[in-house]
Amino acid sequence: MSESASVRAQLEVRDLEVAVDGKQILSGVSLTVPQGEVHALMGPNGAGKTSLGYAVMGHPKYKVTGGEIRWKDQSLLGVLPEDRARMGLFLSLQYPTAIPGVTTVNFLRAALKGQGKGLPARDFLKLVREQMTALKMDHSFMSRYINDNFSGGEKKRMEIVQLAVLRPEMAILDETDSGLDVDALRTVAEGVNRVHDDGMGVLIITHYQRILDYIKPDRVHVMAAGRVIVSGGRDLVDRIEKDGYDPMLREAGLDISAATAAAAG
Amino acid sequence: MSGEFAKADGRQPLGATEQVLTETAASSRLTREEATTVALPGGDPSWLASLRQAALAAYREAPWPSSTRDEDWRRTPQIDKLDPANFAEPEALGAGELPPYLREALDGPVSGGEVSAVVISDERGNLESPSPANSAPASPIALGLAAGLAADGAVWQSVAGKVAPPGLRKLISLNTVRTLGGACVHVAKGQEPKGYVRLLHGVSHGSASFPRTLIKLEEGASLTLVEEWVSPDADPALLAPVVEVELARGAHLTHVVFQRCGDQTVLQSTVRALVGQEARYDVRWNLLGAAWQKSYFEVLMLGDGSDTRLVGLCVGRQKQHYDVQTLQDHVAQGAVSDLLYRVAVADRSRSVYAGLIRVEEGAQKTNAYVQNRNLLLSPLAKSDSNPTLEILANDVRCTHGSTAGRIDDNQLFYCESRGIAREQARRLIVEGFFADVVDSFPEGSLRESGRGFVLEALEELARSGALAASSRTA
Ligand SMILES: Nc1ncnc2c1ncn2[C@@H]1O[C@H](COP(=O)(O)OP(=O)(O)OP(=O)(O)O)[C@@H](O)[C@H]1O
Ligand SMILES: [Mg+2]
Repeated sequence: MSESASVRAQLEVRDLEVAVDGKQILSGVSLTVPQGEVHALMGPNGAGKTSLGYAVMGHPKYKVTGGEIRWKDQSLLGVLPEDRARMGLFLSLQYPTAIPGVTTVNFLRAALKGQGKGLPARDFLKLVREQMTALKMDHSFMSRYINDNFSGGEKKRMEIVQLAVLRPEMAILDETDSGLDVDALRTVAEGVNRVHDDGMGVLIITHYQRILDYIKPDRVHVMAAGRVIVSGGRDLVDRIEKDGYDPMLREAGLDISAATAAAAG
Repeated sequence: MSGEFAKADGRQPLGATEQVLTETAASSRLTREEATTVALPGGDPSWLASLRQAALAAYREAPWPSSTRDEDWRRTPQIDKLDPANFAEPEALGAGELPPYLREALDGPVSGGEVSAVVISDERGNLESPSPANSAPASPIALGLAAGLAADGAVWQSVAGKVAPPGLRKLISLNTVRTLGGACVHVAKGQEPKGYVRLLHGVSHGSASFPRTLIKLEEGASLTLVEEWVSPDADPALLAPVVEVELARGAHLTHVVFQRCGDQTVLQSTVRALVGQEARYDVRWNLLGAAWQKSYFEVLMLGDGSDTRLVGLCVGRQKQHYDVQTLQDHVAQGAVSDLLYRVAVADRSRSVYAGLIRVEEGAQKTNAYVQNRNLLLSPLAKSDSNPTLEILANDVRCTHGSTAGRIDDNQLFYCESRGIAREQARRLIVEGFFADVVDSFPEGSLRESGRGFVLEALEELARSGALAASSRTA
């Protein structure tokens, strides 16, 4: 998909408030990821990172109660998840869902077709095989049920196979690095970078510096207690690595117990 | 629909005004209490005539099943309104003719693959296949009921009414009294006929048909059999097949049932098998379409080391009602029976399942499993599931389980977030729900037929809006 120069191809989240089952989880998140850039999203457990990803992708459980989500100057509120995918968004799940009975190859075929990117059978299979090879996954995974009895790392790799096949314009990667061995981490990072090199924007949620050595962030955001408390350059990663979140939380007027208490609701 | 079917309850003066069309149907009478026996074209062999008399006595003696009195019928009160008197006598048909719905079925989704024999029946008895493309050479393996009994009476005398004795249930008695056609399938010792045998049992609108199928595989014989139960969408009709299976030592039968009945057809079936020593019985039932039905699938594990796999699927929509009851009766030692039944119900349809594993005294080293999984596609669809164990031996492995649930929201979101629209996502997930059933079909054209059947069911669900219906929770 190409867009005219006048359209700002960026993901813009403004003052976003989200509730699950009536419980407030995000309370005013703001951040902007221009297409082509890599932003990292960090923050303690329960900060709301995953919830932000779900809200951006339109998970029906995560109800937007305030603020805005915009992509390419268009509001996403009320837009179906499948349409968000067609508009070029992608969310790699922290815990990818298994669908017993649905083979990986059928799932991918349906996804491509659903996005209007269907290919003739031979080209499709060739594409999937190539990307599986690139992600060092055995081709036998194609006929396995998607994510069903995959190991943790295999699920994460399969998410990136999908990313590579679907080629979105903006990807949110939710802890794609967790559960990967050192070699797989590199393989996955290279897979992401190949699509990034073609202009895909990335919002990468992680707890660790290591993946950011491969996928280099232009900006770093730190979330706590349902909002972004600091945004800055790559040096933030080093600070977190060195001192943890405590100093930032305190600067933001939160202490750990308060932050976790807020997160725990 | 079942609602409209109930209208047929007011008796129609059928016998009185209808012209008498066949000799066998002459002065025929059938009520819930009383019946006249019929005879096969060319006459019954004397042993069959006696069997019919015994069945008639049993029919008269047994009360009509009742949803209040009989445990089997507790959740299927439709039986209280069923009256065999409400169905018309068969209409005459020109020689070599086939009713359109049967011709359609014959050329339908199961065709393909190598067919070694085709046998067709409806309420008139056995019919000739007029389509040369589908008519296999006359085969001694599978014949119509009358032809089969004439060819080898001694063989069938030991099967008919022995596997499914008349007194067992009122509807078995009824089938025995009234059957005019069906099939005799016999494979001699050690034989493994190539391709598969195809049986097509139908009923025309307004009629009642009682096909009887007798299957006997001698020692070490092996066969694949595809049986179809079909009827057109029209007036109420009753299709009540009884299938008796006897497998001798080391025999192997793969028996696939495809049901595609009209929306006003009542189906009452019994498939009952005696499984001999080290014999293997693979039965697959696939139910799609009927107003309501009660179907029994029963295996008696009589031989040590026998092995039975029972795998079923059912797709319900609108106000359809499917009642399936199974029995895995372990008499011999070291036998295995493994049952999986998957059901998807949409709209206001309902599934009722009862499955009993009985391990008789002395049936040690039994492995028996029963599993029923229900997928509810609408808030008004319902499933009742009651798998039970009755174990009288002490060295056995038995498990039973059942589940009922809706399509998982996270699975839906996962699909949707990758660009798969909701209806397509639901279709994909429902298809996936049946994947292990399809995978249990023998590889090749039969598995393709199984896959095709599931796709056909999905089409029907999609047409009736059952895949799109569920409202978005957002
Ligand atoms: N579906 C839900 N139901 C109830 N609570 C939820 C739900 N989803 C998220 N929450 C709560 O919202 C808060 C934020 O959760 P979220 O998963 O977004 O955190 P996170 O930042 O991704 O944490 P982690 O780093 O551990 O993955 C947590 O307190 C969590 O328990
Ligand atoms: Mg998370």
